[in-house]
This record gives sequence, structure tokens and C-alpha cells, in this order.
Amino acid sequence: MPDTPNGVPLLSVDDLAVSFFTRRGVVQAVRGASFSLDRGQTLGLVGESGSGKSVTSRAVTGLIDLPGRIVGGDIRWKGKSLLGKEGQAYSDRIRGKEIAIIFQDPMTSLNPLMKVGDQIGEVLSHHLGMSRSAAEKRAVELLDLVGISFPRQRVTQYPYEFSGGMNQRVAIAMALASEPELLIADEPTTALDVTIQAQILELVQQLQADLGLAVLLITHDLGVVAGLCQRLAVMYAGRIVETGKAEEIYGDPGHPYAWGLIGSTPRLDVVVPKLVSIAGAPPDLINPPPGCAYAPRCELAVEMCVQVSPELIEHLPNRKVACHRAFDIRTVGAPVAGAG
Amino acid sequence: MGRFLLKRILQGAIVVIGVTVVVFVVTRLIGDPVRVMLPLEATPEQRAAFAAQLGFDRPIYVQFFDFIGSALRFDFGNSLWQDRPALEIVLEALPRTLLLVGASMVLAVIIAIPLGILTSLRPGGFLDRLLVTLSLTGLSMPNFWLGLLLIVIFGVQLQIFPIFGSGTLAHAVLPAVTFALPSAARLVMLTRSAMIDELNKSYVQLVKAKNVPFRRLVGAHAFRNAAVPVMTMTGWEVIRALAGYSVVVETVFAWPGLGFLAIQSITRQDLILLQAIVFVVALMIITINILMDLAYKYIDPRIKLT
Amino acid sequence: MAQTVAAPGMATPGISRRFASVVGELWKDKAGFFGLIVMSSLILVALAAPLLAPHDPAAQSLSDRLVPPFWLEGGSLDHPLGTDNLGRDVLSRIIFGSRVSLIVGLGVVLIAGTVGTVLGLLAGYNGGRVDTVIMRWLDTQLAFPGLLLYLVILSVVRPSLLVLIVILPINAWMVYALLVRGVVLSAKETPYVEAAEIVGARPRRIIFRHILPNLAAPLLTLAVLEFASAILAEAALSFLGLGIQPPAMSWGLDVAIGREYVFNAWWLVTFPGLAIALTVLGANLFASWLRIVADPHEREKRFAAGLGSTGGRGA
Repeated sequence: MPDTPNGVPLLSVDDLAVSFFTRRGVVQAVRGASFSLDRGQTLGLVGESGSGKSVTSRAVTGLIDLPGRIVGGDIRWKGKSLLGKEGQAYSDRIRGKEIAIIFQDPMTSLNPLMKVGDQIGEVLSHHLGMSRSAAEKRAVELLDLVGISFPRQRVTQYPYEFSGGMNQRVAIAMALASEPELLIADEPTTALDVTIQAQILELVQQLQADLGLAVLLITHDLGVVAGLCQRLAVMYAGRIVETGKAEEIYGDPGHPYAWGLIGSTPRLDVVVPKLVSIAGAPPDLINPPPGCAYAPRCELAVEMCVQVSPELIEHLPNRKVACHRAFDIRTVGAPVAGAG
Repeated sequence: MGRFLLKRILQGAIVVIGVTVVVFVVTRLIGDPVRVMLPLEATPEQRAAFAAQLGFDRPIYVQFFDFIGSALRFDFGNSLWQDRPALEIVLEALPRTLLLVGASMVLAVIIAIPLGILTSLRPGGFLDRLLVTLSLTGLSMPNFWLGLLLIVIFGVQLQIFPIFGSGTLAHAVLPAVTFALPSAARLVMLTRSAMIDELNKSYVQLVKAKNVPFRRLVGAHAFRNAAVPVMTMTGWEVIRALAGYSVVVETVFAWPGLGFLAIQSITRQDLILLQAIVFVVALMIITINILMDLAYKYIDPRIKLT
Repeated sequence: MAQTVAAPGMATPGISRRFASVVGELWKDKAGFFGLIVMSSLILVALAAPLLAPHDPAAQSLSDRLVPPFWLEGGSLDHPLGTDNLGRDVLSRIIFGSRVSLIVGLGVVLIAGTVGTVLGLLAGYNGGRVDTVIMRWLDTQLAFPGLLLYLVILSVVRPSLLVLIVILPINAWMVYALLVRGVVLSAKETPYVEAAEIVGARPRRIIFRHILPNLAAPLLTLAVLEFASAILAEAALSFLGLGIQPPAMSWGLDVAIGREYVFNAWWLVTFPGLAIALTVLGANLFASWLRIVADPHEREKRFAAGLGSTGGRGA
């Protein structure tokens, strides 16, 4: 594989828009999301459920089916578009090979009637052209790699014979089988017990370091992102509202929503993310408001916020925020946080 | 496995005894076998002699145990109509019915499964709507009418196939098609909905993301899982064909199988023959049920045979 | 289609709006609409048979035997669908035959539906030993050769309309029991039923207030389907000579009579059989429409499917 040309990110999502055509109306699940990811980097895509983060990840992996449709924007892999007629053949080479994904619930995301070894093996034989016996051998190695003991026996078992955490390990092994450059993890720990969550995250982190993977971690749980991601993209109502280095956003959130989500004292050295509940509910994405979608819930909202939708602008080096009152939290927010 | 078989065979035996009891109750208690089997103009002496000959003059409980006992020994007595062992007559007709039902079910499955899979891939599309409408039409046709239509079209108008009887393979074509079409229609609908269910499941999404060939996604993954309900339905179709439609279809085509024999035994007022038929068909149903359970185990490793 | 998507007011349907939207949808779903038309025509024709029939269906006319339908040579509009071997008017017999189909269909659905629903409620709601007994019985009976048992009964009991209505539910009750039990079992898990139990509502009250409403749509759908099966079963038994007996009239019986004449009078088997097939098809189409309307998930899928067939695909 030729290396990425200088300056071109591994994955870039530009102004992506995905809509779902339902009986109630057109749900604009993603309304112009932009972010990029470099080789070996870890990006956390964070937001409430319904913010469009999962839809974004599905769009990247080509899993948007009717009634959903990509209605605008572009997704580029190493600079080349994966969408449209021309992108079709390219994306067919890339998806499942260079980009792999794991899902939320490991118990339902594996085929219940196929041996796990075969489910891993079909990736090997299709994407790497391995023979049956080579694939079998490699499947054992992969199970070993993701920390499953007795892999030789385990390859011949079915998903129902594994626990949830073990199945997620199998799913990860399956994703790694094609030797991808990007692993998308869509809420990989949400369905698991707390202790297992930590193990799985540790595994992802270790593999990321060992294999030089880029990881796109989709989650609603800031605790998950904290230790794992270098960069963060915060999503709200179908848009990215803030991107930047993870510790910078934790320490000094620019967007009131990010600030509310983190709900922490603005200090750089200690990162204490916790989920706080924000009053109000996300907007109806069938008729999204013309201004900032967060305005109705925002303590800092002014008249302009309701009228004009803010652009995602680079306010600080490598920090983009989509807010008319970006970083005003610094002055207004402190006393509120202090009072709370 | 051995325990499972033993348990299922015991359960089957209960069903068979149940069927026998029901047949006994219906024929001896609700109906009067002597009145049914003898012509109206028979004299009281003839009736008494007939009753004594078949043991109907004995106390009812003696008759009952005798009846159950001989049924379990496969001894139903001589057919009144043909005056030879009823079981012998039934076993002559059985292969002809099995041949017909077997051929038609193979035909139905070969037609239905590819079509059902095809429609499930674009639900709501033109092909889907066309095939669903055709299937609904197919399963709305009474078997006997479909058979007669085929006779009118292919036998009378076009004169392609022979119409009645069972001499040659060509004789089997029209009755087999009559059996197969409504079954195929039901199987198309079921395969379609089972496939649509599977294709919407999370694991299929992941297989899609793995970007393995589409054939594999549909065949090795989705259909493999949809095969469980499809197989159940196929088993039921076989049972319904054996225990129900065979009577109608074989009568239409005068195909000398079990179903036609059942109707003849009623018109000839031969209760003994009818009992033997019901007993043998019940045995067939139980066997098919056990075979289906074994097949489940083969398809779905999660199923424990207990 | 895009216009209906954006139609204002669809998001907050009132009762009357909802009714209007259901009717509107029925009109849009041509197959379901056809089903409704067929079902209502069956009822109308059965009720108004004497007014609609051009002839007395039993009137024989030896001079008019085996007259073909009007569009064939020798046919006339006096007997639009021809006459049978005794010169009786085929159309009039079909019109009067609808009565037997309707009565058998309704009778069997009522009896089997009531028995099956009650047993299903008992099994599902009480669970425990009641459930075990009912389900064992059901499992055992499912392995019985259904039609053959009818034959055994009909070989000793003289068949009639009433006998059919009484014996057909012997097999037909089982599907209702299975359906009702399944719905009750899942309804019992829902928070509102659990809450009602905790509050101490009496079982009967819980069943009537909370569980039965859940059952209405699936039961109605099943009843329509079973109405069709009962009509098919009656027709098959009558065809075999074990159902409706002459001089009474039934479509299945008429097909049996016509069978003797398939070589020279194809219309005798064709038209009564067509009446059966149309009625059953109508019921099937209506039922599948009902099922979709009652299931929001299914409606959404339908809508999405419509997109697929009319519009382009995703980028």
C-alpha cells in the first residue's frame, strides 16, 4: 500500500448529511458533520443517543440503507471519495479491508449459527485471499491476539458458547483479520459489564499501539473516551459542535454543550469527566431549528443563536467550535460551576 | 440422543393411542358401526350376526381394550370391502401417496426458496409485489379446483398429460403440481418474511461491513438462519399434504393412494379400513415430527434435544 | 409520494384524522382495498341473494341443460354463466352458495375464536399447571391427522351445515389459543400490567382493561384468515360429498357436480371454484393489509419499501 501523501488525512468526513425518509417526515440525522482522522490516531466521537454519531460511523462503513440515504457531503479515504458512482469500486476495495467496524452488542452482532473461526476465516479468505487451512491457522492466532485462551478449541465453537465480553473479543479479532488501518468501534462497551468494559478498552488501546491502528471510537460515555482518545469530536443534533485535543476539551470546553457534557471544573491537569444531565431535550430533527440546535437548552444563548446557525470555526490552533459564544463559558461558566 | 429418541417415541405412542381412542369413541359410541356398515334393508338377524362376527355384541370395555390391543399389534382385521387384511391394503397405497407427496414437496421447495430469497432482497420492489400477489393467489385456490383447472387446461384442451389414474410417470405430473403450487405459495411467503427478519438483524449488518461477497451474505449467513422456520413450515406442508390434501387431490385425479382409499372406504362403508388408514397416517406424522426435530439439531447447534 | 410525506398534521393524528388516514391508506393499498370490496360483496350478495339471482337456483329445465356462458356459441344472457347438467342457472347457484360460505365462515370463526381465545387467556394468564395442561393437549392434538379425523366423524354422522360448523372448530381453535397465549405472555411483561398487578387490580380487570386491547388487532387479522380457511375446508368437504348435501347449495358441491362434466362443460367447475378462490383471496389480502396497519413497525417498512421502488438508491 502506498503511504498517504503528506497533509492528506487517512479519513476525512466533509459536511456529511444523512437523512432518513420516514412516514412522519424526513429525519435529518446528520446535518453537515466534518472531521478528519490521521494514521494511527484515536478520535472519540461523543454525543447523546440520537446525535447522529452512530449514523456517521455507518455512513463511513457504507451501511446506510433505505430509508436512510446520504444526501450531501463527502467521505474521503486517503484523499479519494468513497461516495458516488466513482467511489463505488474504491469503497468496495476499502470497506471491510482497510476499514473495519465492531458493534455495540456482541451477542447479536455475530452470526449465531456459524463457528467463530469461520466468521473470522471468511474475512481472511475474501480480503487476504488465504486458503482454507491458512485461514484456520490465522484465526487461531487472532483469537490468541485478542486474549482468548485455548484459541485452538475456541475457533470451532459458536457465539452462544461465549460470554458477552468474549464475543466482543471475537468481533475485534474478526475486525483485525483484514489487517485494517482504521477500526471503528461503535459503542463497543455499552452492552458489557463494567469490569469487562475496562478489559475491552484496554485491549483496543493495546492493539492500537501495537498495530498502529487509527481508531474511531463512538460513544456517549465520556469515561470511555478519557483514557483512550487523543482527539475528540463532540456531536449534537446531527452536527459536530467542537473538535480538538481531548485533554484540551476536557480542560477548557469551548462549546456550552461540551461544557455541560463534561460538567467539570476547568482545570488542565486533572481530568474528571462525568456525565451530567442537561435540562431539556434535543430538537426534533424533522424540523430542525434555523439557528443553533442547542440554543433552547443553552444558558448562554442570545438572540443571534436562535436566528443564525453557527459555523464550525477554528477559534484556537487545532480547536474548532461551532458556537457564537465559544469560550464565553470561561467567564460565565466558572461561577455557575463553582456554585454547583 | 438416545434418550431424546426414546422420549419422542413415547410421546408419539401417546398420540397414536389418543388417535385410536378418538377413532373408537367416534365410531363405536357416537355412531353405530352396524348401521353404518350394513345396507339399510338388512334384517335384524343379519345385523345381529354381523355384530357377533365383528364382536360388536360384547361389552363396550371389552371391545375397547380389544380394539386398542389389536391396533397396537397393527392388526385391524379384514377390510369389509375387499375381504383381506386392512393393513395390507393400506401398505399397498402408502408408497403411491409418499411418492406423490415427496415429489411435490421437492418441487415446491425448489420453486419457493429461491423466489422467497429473491423477493426478500428488495421488499416492496416490483418483483416482490408481483410474487407476493401471485403467491397470495396461489394459496387462495382450493386444491381440488386447481386440480380440475389443470385437468381442463392440460388434459382436455391441450391434451398434454393423462388425467386420471397412476400408470406412468406422466400420470403423476398434474397431481404433483396440484399439491406443489399452494405449498410453494405458502413457502415463498414464509421464506420471504423469515429472510427479511434476518436481513434486518445486527449480525447481517456486521457481515455487510465485512464486505464479503453478497452471495455469502445471503446464503451462508441470512438464509442459514432463516432455514429454521422454513424447514418447520416445509415439515408442516408435508404433514398437511399427507393427512389432508392427499384425500382431495387423489380423489380429483383418482390416484390410488391413501387419501383416495380413505374416501373409498367411506363410500364403501368400510370403517375397519378407515381406522387402519388413520392409524398409519398418525404414525407417519409422528415420524416426520421426530425427523424434523433431528434436522433442527443439525441446523441450529444451540438446540438441545431433551 | 413526497407530498404525502410532508403533509402537515400527519405528526399529530386526532381520532377522526386517524380514521381518515386509515381509510386513505386502504385506498392507497389497492390490494387491501380489493380485499375489503370482496369481503363486503360476499356479505351483500349472501343477504340479497333472492334479489340478485336471475333464476331460482333449484329450478331445473331439461331443455336448457349444459348451456355455455353467454359469450360462447349457444350461450345467452338469460344464463350469463351457463347452466348445469339439470339446466339450473350457474350464476344463481353461485349467488345462493355464498350463503353457506358466509355462515360456515362466521360460525366456525365465532366458535373456534371464542374457545381458542378463552383457553389461550387461561393458559397465558394463569401459567403453571393450567398452562401445562392446555399446551400438552395442544401439542398432542397438533400431531393428529386433522382432516382424517373429520372424515372419521363424517363417516358415522350424517353431514350437514350444522355438523360442519360444530366439527370444524375441533381443529381451528388451536391457532387462536397459540396466538392469544403468546400475546398475553408478552403483555404480562409490560410495565403497565405489572403495575396493575402490584396495585392489586383483579385479574379479570387486568385482562379486560390491559391485555385484550393488545389482542384486538392480531385476533381480528387471524379471524379474517381463519374465515378463509373455514370456507376452504367447507368447500373441500362438500366437494368430497362429506359436507353440504343436495339439494342444499354450496360452491364446493357445485364443483363436485361439475367434475363429472369437465370434458364438455368446463364452466361448471370453473365458476363456483372461482367464487371460492376470489373470496379466499379477498380475505387474505384484507388480512395482510390489517396486519400491516396494526403494526407501526410494518407500516414504516412499507413506507421505506415504497421509497426503494420509486426513488433512486443512496449515494
